[in-house]
Amino acid sequence: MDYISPTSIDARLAEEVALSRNVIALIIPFIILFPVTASAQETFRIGAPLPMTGAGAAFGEKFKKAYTMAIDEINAKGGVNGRKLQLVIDDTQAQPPLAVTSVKKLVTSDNVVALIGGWASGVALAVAPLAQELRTPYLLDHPALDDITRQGNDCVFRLQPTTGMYSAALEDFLINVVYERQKKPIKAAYLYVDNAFGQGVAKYGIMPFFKEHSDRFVLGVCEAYSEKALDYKPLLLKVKNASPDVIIFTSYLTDGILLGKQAKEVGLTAKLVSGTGAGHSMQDIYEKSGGAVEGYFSSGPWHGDVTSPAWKKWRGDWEAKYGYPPGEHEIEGYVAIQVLARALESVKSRDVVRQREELRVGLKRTTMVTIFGPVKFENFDGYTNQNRAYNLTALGQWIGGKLYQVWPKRVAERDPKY
Amino acid sequence: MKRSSHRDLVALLLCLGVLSLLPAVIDTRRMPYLFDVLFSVNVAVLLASSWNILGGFAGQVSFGHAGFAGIGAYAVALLPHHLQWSPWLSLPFAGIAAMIAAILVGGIAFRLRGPYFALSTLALAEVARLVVEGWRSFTEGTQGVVIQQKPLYLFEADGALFYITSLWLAGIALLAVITIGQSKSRYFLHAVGESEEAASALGVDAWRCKMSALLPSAFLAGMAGGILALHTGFLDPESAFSISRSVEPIILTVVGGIGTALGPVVGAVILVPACEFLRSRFPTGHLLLYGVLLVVFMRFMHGGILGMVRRKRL
Repeated sequence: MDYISPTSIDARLAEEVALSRNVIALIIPFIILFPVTASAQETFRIGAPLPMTGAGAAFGEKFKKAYTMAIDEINAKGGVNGRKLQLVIDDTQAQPPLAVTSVKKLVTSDNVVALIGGWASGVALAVAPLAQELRTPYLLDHPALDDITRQGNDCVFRLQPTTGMYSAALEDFLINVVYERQKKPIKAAYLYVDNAFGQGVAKYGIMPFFKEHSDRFVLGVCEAYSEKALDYKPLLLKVKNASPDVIIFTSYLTDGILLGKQAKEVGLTAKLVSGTGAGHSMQDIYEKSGGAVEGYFSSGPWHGDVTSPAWKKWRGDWEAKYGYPPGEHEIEGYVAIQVLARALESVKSRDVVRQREELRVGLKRTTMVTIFGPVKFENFDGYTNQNRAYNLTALGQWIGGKLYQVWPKRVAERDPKY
Repeated sequence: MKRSSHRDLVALLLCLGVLSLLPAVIDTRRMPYLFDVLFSVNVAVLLASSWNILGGFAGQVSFGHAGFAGIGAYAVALLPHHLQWSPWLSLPFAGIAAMIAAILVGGIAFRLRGPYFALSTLALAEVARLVVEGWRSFTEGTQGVVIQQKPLYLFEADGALFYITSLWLAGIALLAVITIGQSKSRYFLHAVGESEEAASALGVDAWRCKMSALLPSAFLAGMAGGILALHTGFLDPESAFSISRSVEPIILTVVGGIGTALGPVVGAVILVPACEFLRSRFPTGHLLLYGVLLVVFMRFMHGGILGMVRRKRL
């Protein structure tokens, strides 16, 4: 280490001051000039604070693809009101402090007309009040924590179901199929990732369900686990010893893969094993777990009305472009851009501040049917600008390496293997 | 106080005074991003200077400054949450809470020899995170806490207030570093850092000496965590105790010039905007580029930027 000599502290400090002054003087113009990049635009810029690096990078990439595909299609048809859409992505690493800086850059330096995405609920909780303060419409397409649209922010809109709605299709299946077949109390176990997402699904979805239906379901093992753990076998053996009929996981991707693989290793089986969206609805979970999740269900935001010709065409286009079938993230991102584009039709001003206000009003007035389902932002049950997405959830099942939508029946691609 | 100390103090106050006028020249509402970057630079100076007191001057490497910063952050988040205090008035308690944690860690670990203090600080961040995650009724657990950015008396909680507060906190940190650097205890810290056994043999109370560096260091780290949490408006255990917050001050100090009073300032003023610039221009590849930049610094600038410039002059 380069320590200061105790005998020459004053001289060294004076020298340091002089050196630092010179070094800093060279840097200051750079600091002041680099954010000033805004210019008059002939496009509608849409800002996406996404995790492009770090643990959430895989999800950030999914949304980037979805936004890009939708924007390319809209621009190919001439854009909106003769103006092209332009995506501006800023990496948040799924860290709220970075997301705050990202949003300020996107709004004031890149002059975006709207914000979209965010992926993680923690990020969205930091971004939502800031979007409100900056009077910039923020359309959520995946952050699901209920609290985000319960703060009365009129600039914050949410397209997809909240965490409390994720398990709606599974709950319906448990009551109408699983219980109806067994006709006696069913033993259940529930393991959920200990973060905002897991807590949200547990608090607003799974726990109230088992409490309400305690005459038909007995929830035994119910534990939160750390996302960073590598060995889940002790926890899985605990579940195995309880011999539940139904096992539910709320997981992200890496923990979901490990849980699937290790459950197979310890021989943990049940009549029904289900995830609640997120990791369990991603193609990677099947491939990276070596097929260990074959037969698993996953309840979450549905993949759209898979019976409609428009959805089938979109799926074909997606697979042709990216080479894999789309899931909940892809359709959410794709449709979110379509919703923004529809609302942007009401934007006439050239001034970006006025455009944001016109867009906010436009979003509030938007009523449309998409391949994801109907979209209308309403205030109800304590929510503000929340799409009533209770029915936009579905139960999928991994069969032969593909996640098929199996419940509710009206949108099922095939019968469930149960 | 020596004449040189007076001169340094006047120079520091003059600098802070001039920089405090920036919001009067540039409208913070028109350029919040610029002030956000400057805020990040100030917080980085504060955190890196706090690490420098301990790691640079006293030779006691801390791998867990995220622990002190995170505890400070939670003090700022939870006091208003439970007692309805103004988050701004809770800010001093961020430093105090981190100091209490430092007394617990240093009180035990500094009585041991070898790498135990470094390991203890690493453990502190992890233990604090686990406590916060587990104690849901008090901390809201992994769901996190929303911090209302209320105004401070007549001042609006905008970019200018955050910029000026963080600037003066960074100034206080710098003053602490300069004061320690010019005080008699600087000799003791240097001696203990070089060889604890030799210093003890000469009558230096090593434990007391190390604690005298740890307490201000933890206080300043707690303040850094506190102001950052207040600025973000949301706090969860993962971001509060993130390992990157422990690594960042070490990198800034080493790149700027470890053991020098102004090394962390130079490191922060160069690396924070550079990192932000790369992140905004290369959303998917910025960490790789930042890594290359650090390798270049480490390879060609032994002793940090100040060390290299000094060698060129000699």
